[in-house]
Amino acid sequence: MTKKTILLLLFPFVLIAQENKYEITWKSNFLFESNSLNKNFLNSMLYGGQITDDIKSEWIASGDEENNIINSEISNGLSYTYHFNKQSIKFEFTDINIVNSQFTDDFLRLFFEGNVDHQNETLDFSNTNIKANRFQQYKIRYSRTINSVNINGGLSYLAGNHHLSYIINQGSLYTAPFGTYLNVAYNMNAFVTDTSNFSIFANNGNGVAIDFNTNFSIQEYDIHLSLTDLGFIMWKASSISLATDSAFNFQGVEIEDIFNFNDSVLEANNIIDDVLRTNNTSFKSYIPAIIHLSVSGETDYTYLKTYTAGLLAKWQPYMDNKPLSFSKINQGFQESNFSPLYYIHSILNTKYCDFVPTLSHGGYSNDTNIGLALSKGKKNKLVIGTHHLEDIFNGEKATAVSLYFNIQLQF
Amino acid sequence: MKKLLIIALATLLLFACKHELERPTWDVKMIVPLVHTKMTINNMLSDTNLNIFENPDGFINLVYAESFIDINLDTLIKIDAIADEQTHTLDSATFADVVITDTATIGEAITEIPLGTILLPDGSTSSIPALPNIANEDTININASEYFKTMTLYRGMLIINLNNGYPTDISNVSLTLINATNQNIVATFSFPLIPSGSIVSDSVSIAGQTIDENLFAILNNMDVNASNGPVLIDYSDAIITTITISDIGITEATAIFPEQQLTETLKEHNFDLGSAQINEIGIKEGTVTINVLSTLPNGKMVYNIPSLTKNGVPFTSGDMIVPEATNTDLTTFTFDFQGYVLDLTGQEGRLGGDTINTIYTESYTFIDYTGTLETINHTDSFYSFIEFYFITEYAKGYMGQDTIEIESEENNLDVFNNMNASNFELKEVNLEIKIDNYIGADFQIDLIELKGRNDKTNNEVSLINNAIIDINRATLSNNNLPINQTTSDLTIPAEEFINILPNKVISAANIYLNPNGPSSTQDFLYPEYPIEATMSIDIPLSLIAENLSFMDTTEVDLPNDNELEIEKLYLTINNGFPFDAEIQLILLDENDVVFDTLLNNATIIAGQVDENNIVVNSTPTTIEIDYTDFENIKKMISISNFTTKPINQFIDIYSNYELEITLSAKINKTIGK
Repeated sequence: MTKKTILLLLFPFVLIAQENKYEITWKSNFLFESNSLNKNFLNSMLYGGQITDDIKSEWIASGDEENNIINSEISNGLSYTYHFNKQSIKFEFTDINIVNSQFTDDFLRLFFEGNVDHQNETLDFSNTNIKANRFQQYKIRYSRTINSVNINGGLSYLAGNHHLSYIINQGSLYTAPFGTYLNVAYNMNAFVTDTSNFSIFANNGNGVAIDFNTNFSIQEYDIHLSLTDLGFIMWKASSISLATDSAFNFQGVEIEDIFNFNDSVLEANNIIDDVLRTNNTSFKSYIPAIIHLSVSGETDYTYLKTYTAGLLAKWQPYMDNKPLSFSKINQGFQESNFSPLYYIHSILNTKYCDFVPTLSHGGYSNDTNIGLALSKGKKNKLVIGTHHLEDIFNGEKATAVSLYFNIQLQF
Repeated sequence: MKKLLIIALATLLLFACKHELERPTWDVKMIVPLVHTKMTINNMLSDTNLNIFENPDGFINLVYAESFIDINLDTLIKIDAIADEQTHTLDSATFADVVITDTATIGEAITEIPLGTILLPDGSTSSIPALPNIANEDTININASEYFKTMTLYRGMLIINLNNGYPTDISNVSLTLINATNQNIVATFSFPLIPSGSIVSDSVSIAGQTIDENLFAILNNMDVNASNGPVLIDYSDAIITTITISDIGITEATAIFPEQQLTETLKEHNFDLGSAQINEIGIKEGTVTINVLSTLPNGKMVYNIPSLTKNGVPFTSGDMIVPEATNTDLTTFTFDFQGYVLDLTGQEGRLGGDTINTIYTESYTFIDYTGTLETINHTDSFYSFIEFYFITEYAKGYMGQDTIEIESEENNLDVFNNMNASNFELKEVNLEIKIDNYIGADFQIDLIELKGRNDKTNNEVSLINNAIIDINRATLSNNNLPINQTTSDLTIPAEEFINILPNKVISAANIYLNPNGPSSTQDFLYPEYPIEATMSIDIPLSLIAENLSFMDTTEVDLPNDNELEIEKLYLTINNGFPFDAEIQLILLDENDVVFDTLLNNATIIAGQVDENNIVVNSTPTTIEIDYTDFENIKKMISISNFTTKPINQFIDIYSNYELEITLSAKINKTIGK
């Protein structure tokens, strides 16, 4: 969803091009962001290598939060806009991949270390969730300006390819000394689309999303208010779902003769099969919706002609488990794993290119981030930038990596 | 162009350093429970032949029971299979007489006289003049085809009867019988005078003759004598000639034979049952198989056993049509005996009254009517072989007197086989010999000896010497099942016997059947309900054990997962029994060679007991076992040493005492490999 942020950040540039009737834009965006895990973690996960005990300890100890959040997005889009009579129609196609997860340090401990070192302890992995979505968005947007108030709305068709989500609301594992028994408690929901077809453009679901934007001015300030990509995908009935809420004590396979057990006895008592009773059913998943409020103004400084201050929030509940209400709205904000992002940015015009520095705080981490974009050209424009400039200098300890790329042609 | 160059450079920068995606690897150490069990004394002793009883307090009694005298009932009622063999030849058969009749009326004779019907009209009263030579070489056709086509006899009589029905005498009758085919003279008869209204008869042996179906009776001469005055002329008055072939013994005959019985054999079969006198046997299951060989083309047999009945209906085979033998294979007819009762009192109404151990049978052979010409000869025969097979459901009568000697024999007592102890004491042990008699006869058992021996220590304890046990007869309910058995028992203190942990029981006995002779009550025997003699050892589990060791060899099939590296195993035992235990586990390969020692005298601490020596708390013990590759492990020897706590005090074992065992494993796994 950061691409949406970029789009909005670059909105003034778009306005400059209004005297041209046609506009084609290619946008690519890569973002990896975490509140605790660093680039070393990303590199290990993507490019392999042995994860040593020291690395594990470092990862688990990293960050101030008990809950670790990782968000990764890769999107590529192409849009065509036709401007006419203070109106415009925009057709946009975007291929979107989003992985968003939140898990506790205890989950990391269990995942990377096992439970040997946690005998007579309870490992808590409540509020752990992993969500992965891949879909294409076909959007049509209409914009109209009336008396300096710009209003636009969009409607998207979402072609869902793949979805995977594991949502553990409550979960814990107690390991008794010498592993004589395990106490497991879990309240888990899982949804996975049809695993028989892993084609990247497989159609496993369909959905819709809507946008609403408005821009207006109050005195010398331009106000922007938008709700983008409020929508969902309905995944097909061939999808696999699991909902289980249980607690049990596992003491091993119950046998009568301690000297007479074998693999078949163990297999016949496969507790995993008992726990993971799945069925095939259709389900709904939400895509992250963005709520954006910004105020832009101008200054008299040569190199700082404009500034914008804004607030971004995301809304994405895990499941369609309750009707729309304030509670549901609140649930969507909490379950998006996204904290409100406050930012301020400006534009510095230079002879060779324009610099767009950004200072932001919040999002998927609680860090303060410095962003920088370079923009070249007016009518036809190339923009390349990052939201996490400071992490470039943090090397392996960087907790975020982002790069966006934008080419805009007007004619 | 410049823009395109920038785009191309940017793209190149983005993808030039692209790293191949690979899976990371990391090691995870898990500790998980594998198996868990709770073992009470019931579980521990489940694979022994000890019965476990508990009183309301849960106090355990062990009872070892084993049958120790096996009485073979075949020795009481030896009823061998019955076989009955019979041969029935045709020369021993009797055939029905052949009777052919010819009628010559006076009307026919008068018709042949010129003007005879005018001079001697029917119904008139006239004097008949003498008519010499009224018959001269007259031929009468005799048709015997109704009886046979041709018949060669080794024995037989041809009998001719002439009944003179004329109103006047006839004289000088000469008659010759000739075979129509070869014109051979079969017989010639002469009768000088046959008075009116009289019958004359003559016979001749036709042994060796062949008789055809068509015979000519040539009346060589017959004179009609003058009547004594006028007589009534009745044209129906006739001379009736009857030719009878009797006492037929066939060398060969071709005929359409009517059904006729050939042989009849009525027989009693007696069984040797020694002194037993059985008069009724119920048959649980069985068959009678009748094997027959017949050279007759149309043989038939019927076999009856009147003394074998089911629901009051005697057994009969019914008609058994026996096809003509073409080789020596017998035709078999099998009949089910199930549910029949065999009366062994012999033939009903027999001379001398009812007998015992005897059955009565009847067999009949027949030539069957087939409606077609058949040729038989005197060498044709029936051969029958009848087999009886039955399993006795019961026998009633008198079983007789008998002595069954059970010589001294050693029986293995395996319950203590794998046990040793430096000190082992049981507070109280009783050995009980219990005999349930389901036989309707009196017995007496003389237990000559009963003793236990431990072959390892050569310790021996004698329990019984020449003890007599009288066993009363069982009774039936209204002369039928169920049986009301009688029970006799003998209880002996046996602490010393058990304390030596015997592995052998030596016993010898004599069993006397009906020691007092016949009873006023009929004896009976249902083989399914024999005498059940059991020796049981009742052991209340109150014991002192010091280094009571059990050794057991178990075939094992332990999991061996190559994907998991098991570093250690943990055997966690919560001991709820009042004894310390030392456990040694030795692993063997497929050649029974010691592979490794998994545990070496690992100590398990006894449960905590109160002042009454009753366990109030389990004591946990965890034993760490270095993991061994179990792939080649096929057997495990477990040696367990138990010492009751506190020592030198009798400890009671209760059913709620349990040993809780959990086997857990510390597992290393590399994720991502």
